[in-house]
Amino acid sequence: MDYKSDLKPPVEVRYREELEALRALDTDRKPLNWKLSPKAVRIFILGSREPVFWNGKEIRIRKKYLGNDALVERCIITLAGSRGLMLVGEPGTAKTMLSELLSAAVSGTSMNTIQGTAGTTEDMIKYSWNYALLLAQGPSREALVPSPLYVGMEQGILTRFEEITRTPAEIQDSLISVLSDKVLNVPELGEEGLLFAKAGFNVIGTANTRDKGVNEMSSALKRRFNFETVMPVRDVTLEKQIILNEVEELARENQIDMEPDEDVAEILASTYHELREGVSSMGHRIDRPSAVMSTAEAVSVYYQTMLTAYYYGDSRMDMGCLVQNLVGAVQKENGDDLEKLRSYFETVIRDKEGKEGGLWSSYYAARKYLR
Amino acid sequence: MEQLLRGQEIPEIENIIAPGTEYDLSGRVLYFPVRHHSPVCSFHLQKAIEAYRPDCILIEGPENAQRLIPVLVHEDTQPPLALYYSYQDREGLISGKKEDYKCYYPFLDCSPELAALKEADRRKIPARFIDLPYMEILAGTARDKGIRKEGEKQTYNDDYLLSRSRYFERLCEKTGVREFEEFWEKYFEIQGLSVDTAVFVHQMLLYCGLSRLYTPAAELEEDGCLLRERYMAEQIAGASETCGRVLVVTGGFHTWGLSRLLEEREDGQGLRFTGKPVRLHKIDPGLQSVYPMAYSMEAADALNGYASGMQSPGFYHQVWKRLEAGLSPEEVYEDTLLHFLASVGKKARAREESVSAYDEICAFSMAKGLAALRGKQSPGLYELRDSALSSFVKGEYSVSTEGPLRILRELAAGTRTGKLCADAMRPPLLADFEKQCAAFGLKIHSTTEQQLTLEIFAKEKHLRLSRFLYQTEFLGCGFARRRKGADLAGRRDRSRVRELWTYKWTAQVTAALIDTSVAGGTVEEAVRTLLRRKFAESTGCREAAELLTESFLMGLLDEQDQMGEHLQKVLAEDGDFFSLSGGFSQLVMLAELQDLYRVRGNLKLEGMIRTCFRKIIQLLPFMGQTGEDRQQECMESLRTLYQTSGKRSCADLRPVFLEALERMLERKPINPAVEGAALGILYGCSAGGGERISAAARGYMQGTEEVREKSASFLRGLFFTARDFVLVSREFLRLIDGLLGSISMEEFMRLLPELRLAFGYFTPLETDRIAAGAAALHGKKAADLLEGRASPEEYAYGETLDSYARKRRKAGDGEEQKR
Repeated sequence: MDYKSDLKPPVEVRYREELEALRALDTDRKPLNWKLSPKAVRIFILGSREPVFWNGKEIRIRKKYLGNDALVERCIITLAGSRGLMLVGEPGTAKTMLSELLSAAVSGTSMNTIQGTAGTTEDMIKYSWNYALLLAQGPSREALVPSPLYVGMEQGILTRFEEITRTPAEIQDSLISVLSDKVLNVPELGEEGLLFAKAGFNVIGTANTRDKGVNEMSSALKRRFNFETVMPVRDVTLEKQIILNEVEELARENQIDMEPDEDVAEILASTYHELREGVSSMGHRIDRPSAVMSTAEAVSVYYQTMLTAYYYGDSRMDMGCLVQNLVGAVQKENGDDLEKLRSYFETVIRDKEGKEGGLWSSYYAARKYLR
Repeated sequence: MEQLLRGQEIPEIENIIAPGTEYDLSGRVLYFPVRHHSPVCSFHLQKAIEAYRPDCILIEGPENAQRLIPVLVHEDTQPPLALYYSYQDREGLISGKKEDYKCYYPFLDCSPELAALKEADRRKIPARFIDLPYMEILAGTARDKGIRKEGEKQTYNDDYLLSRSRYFERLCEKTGVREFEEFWEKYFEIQGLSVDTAVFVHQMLLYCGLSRLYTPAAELEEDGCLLRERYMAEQIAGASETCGRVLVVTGGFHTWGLSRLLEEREDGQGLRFTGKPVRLHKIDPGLQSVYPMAYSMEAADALNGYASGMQSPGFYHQVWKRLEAGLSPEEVYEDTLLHFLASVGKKARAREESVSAYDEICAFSMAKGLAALRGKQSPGLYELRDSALSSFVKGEYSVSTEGPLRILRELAAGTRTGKLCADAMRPPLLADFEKQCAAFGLKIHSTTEQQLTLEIFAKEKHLRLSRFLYQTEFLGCGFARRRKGADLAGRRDRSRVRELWTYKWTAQVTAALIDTSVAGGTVEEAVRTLLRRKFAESTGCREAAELLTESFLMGLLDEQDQMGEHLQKVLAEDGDFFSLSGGFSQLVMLAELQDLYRVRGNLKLEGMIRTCFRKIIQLLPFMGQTGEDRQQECMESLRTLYQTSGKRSCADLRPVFLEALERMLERKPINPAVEGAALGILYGCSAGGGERISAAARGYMQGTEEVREKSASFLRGLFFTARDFVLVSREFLRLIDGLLGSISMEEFMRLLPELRLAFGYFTPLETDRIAAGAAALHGKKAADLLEGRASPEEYAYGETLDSYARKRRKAGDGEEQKR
């Protein structure tokens, strides 16, 4: 399949070269059916200080997941063990990205995925039938349409289960026997209907903590997973770096020839950070908006502003446009949020403008768009 | 490790290790660099002693604790221990502020310094502390630096020197570890176990030398490091001449500095000191003291917050136990981890957290996997924490799911407390405290909070214990706290017959007692000294009476005798009505409770109460002008005076009191609540007062709007002292009814809060009677009033409001307690 012109090629395509180089140079021990050793998976996700040389080329392994390195290490070891991995956290904390990176590195594909929704049914998780073949031949392996879980077990690769808590609890529970016994029974196929999972199979789930209570996981299912809570980035400098990296990547993929502006990224990162934490760097106490103030949202606000600047402006980031996009991102769930944002501008940004001047002044002047 | 430190870009790395400090068993002096509380350092130190067979061991530690070494190594003494140094800067040698200084020097089982002392004792060779006395270290340290850093827990350990240099940050980054502690554990604690002692010492010297290289000389000077090293080097030179083979155990950071100050003597008989000798100050020895004290792992761990010593001493204690038991280096950490995972699981199950044996298995394999991934020889503390986090926490990490991790933190910090041998030198005050605790059966060898319920009036022993606890509370050592029971000082809950106390032993209790030990040899003696001091400083009658109440609760009756004279003096000088009346009510209360609390001194309380009463009477006529903020206090004073003067022994005071009230009422304008209270009292004393009340009330209720607004306040004062008046006088009820009928809704709402307060003095039965009376005025019966029943919605709303108010009040109380 050619993914080149796709909007978002899968991780294994985006980083094909890095993965191939790591695979070729990997000398450490690998769990059965893993494409890379745990150490190489770590390097793929957390980057290496020195570039690697492969195929006559110098390849730089970039750090792809910024944040908690120990969490990534725990995830890798969990996947090599007998329990599934469940990534939980606020929306926009890069859970899905981490699960894609892990799957691409461990199994070579990040596409063996179940997307959890309120309409997910048990046959989407286990298997369904090609009814034409079923009627013609009766139950057979050919007539069976395997689910991503089935594929994972059959081939010994990871299955990703996105947004698991959006799926009804009784459907979630169909995972229990698979995860504990590592066997899936297809009664229609009689004696041949037992599918034993191959080594290398495991499940990475992601769950959004804002959905908590929608379909709470049963404790039986919880016991089959190791949980990792992905926290929002707590460091402004890191958040700024993430915004810059992500935007750069997006711009490159979409052939937008414009360098991201570090100062704007810093202002945006500090705005998101302060609104999320409820306290400014100067010590003001701020009302926290109820909307999700995730780094992913900040990236999208930045990128939208960048697109406007590229197509309609002179390729310079306009603070007015940034604030308008910010309004769109914040004013989602609750009307009060805009008021909170306005009072944030009237206190924190006003003081910062007085102290720092420069870009902060035009940011403060753009408060007129807070409507 | 070697490769890690030996960057290609620094060829001169070998120069980092000072000549003469390498591990050479044939030398006259052998340096052994350590990190405080490090098991691996103790492990290799024991080996080094075995191989070197020194004639004398010199240890980094303030030398004024020399005489305490026998206590530290005594077989009945159990770590954690600490040496507690204090210095009172009366002469202003440290700073013009002439403050008191103190610091701890903790020892755990795995502390290399303690291991060295014990080895020396076992081999019957001398061991000596060689650092400057505590006071000199203080004097040699710049303000707010090193040991004098303000706001930090004062500890002698200076391991922070190893982790604050700039190069260690780069090192952590390069080795992919999170922080210095992880670096240390990976490369020294774990890896160090499987290398030869010579290699271990070499690596320590290399690391510490690099830390030293990247620390500016000015910083070393300000921290007092250079001064201390000069002194220690002098001691080493002296010992090397006279003691034969000398083993020097100091923090690794100092080895480089020490060796630079020493050179080989030409005759080969030891080392010569080449620096400038340190001149010690002449101070009064009474100002400087050092005591051994039992310490707790909890406190030793808290120190870690300031980068001194090792974190999680409970964890490393278990490592050390396994090393002592002779487990191989490969087994030590894995076995320790298993111990902790199983203990956390067991404890979590006892607390009804869901941690299964399978979770423990998963956690163990996670820890081993992580160690392999991170290139560690064995999983350590960081892998233990990571594995518990991923295998024991079910669901999103939050306060409600982190139970198992909390347990792990507790266990890793350790709960052990130390014990001193019987003949340990300790201040007599502390000995008396421990003796009394033992006599009362209080648990002081555990750091968990204990609870006691004392029936002080039923059991003699409970009363004595209560007095003892009050005494410790008075000393401010933070040992015990009364949670429930009669609060005489606050004049609350006086009818309670039981007291509920909680107590908890911490190292701070001992430290506080040592601090106070100059005040006396026993708890009681110290309390008396402080009580006398406070009493002499007290100015007002209320303050003095409160102290009297405290001494009353502490059972120090004879002390009250000595206070009597002072109290008379204070009384004579006090001219504040509220202070006097506050003191007065305390004195009256003490006189009433004397029998109940079995306290009977020669205080002549009666006499004092009379003096106080007279002084109050003098001031009383002017109290009609009391502001709204103190009117309640004033009303209470009036009532106490009224009740006291009603007693047979004080019957002669009654006319004087009433006369003063009359004079007060004559002076206008007068606070309506105080007026009401005064009229109420007069009504209670003479049958004809009713008319007067009605007249005054009519004045308020039928006055202009502004005056009318004061009527609720008047009623409040009146009902406070004579609430029966409204029950007997139908006329008065009609008056109130008339008032309420004539005012607008708006005005009524303004009056409502005060009215509520006023009617709050009645019992439910009385309220019913008043309501029936009021209903009769409108031709209805009491039962008719209940007709308009509340709807379920209204009732539910009321309940919500009620519970909201209760919650708020509770929250407010909680905050107050915190304050």
